[in-house]
Amino acid sequence: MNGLLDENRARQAARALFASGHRNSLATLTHFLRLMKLNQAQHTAIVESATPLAPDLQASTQARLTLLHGPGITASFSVRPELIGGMRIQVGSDLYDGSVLAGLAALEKSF
Amino acid sequence: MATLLEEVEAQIAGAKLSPVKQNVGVIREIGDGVAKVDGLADAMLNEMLDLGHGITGLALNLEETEVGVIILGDYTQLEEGDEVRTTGKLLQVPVGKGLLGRVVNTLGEPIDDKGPIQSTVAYPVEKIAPGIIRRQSVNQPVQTGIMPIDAMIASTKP
Repeated sequence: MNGLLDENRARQAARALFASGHRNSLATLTHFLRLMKLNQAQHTAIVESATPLAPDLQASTQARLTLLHGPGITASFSVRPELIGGMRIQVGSDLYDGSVLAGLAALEKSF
Repeated sequence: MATLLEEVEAQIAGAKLSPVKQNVGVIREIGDGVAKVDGLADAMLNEMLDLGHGITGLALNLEETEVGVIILGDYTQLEEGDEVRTTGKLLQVPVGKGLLGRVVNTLGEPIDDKGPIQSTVAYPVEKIAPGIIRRQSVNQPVQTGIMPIDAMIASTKP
């Protein structure tokens, strides 16, 4: 609904399909599960940083992501020390990489 | 020494370090030089993809949720879960006199151990042919000697 997955309807559809006992129901359910995972990935922003982000920075990041990708987006914050510094944000297949690690990789490519 | 330092400084200054939006995907299936990649929503048909490890792929089958990729390199170095990035470039190869007498692979990279190819120009592989008006006129027919071909297809010398 409105570009967002209706969880109740998806649950009902999955249960009905499973209960139908159709010979291809498992394959269809597997494909349905994959589509739901892709849909979830499109509405989830994976925010990675080298150190934990302060609550106000998390809030401003969430606000900025909502502006860019619409109100249905939720941010998931995690710490990844190998980034060295900066932030790496992925929403679906869109990647905004401002980490020091990516900068070093770009520098390496330029030589 | 001063020249070297200036050169390195110029390289660092020229490197794009500011975050830019990129399009990425993840290898879902791989085998026999072909991969299926989840994501890559902005990939173009015949676009070159960066598969990592210095390997390039060709986006050939664009579907709603995945992209079918032909791997132009050693696919055994890749595995499921590896990240794939778009490059924004359609399949292209270097062109020019630097290629005369050289042996290259499918991407126009030298494989004859004679060093890099001296070429600054690259042309797309799938290039639209010039229109009929712009082409040189032809007036000398060519017979292949194979009757069905000569009967059905008009061949001429340029």
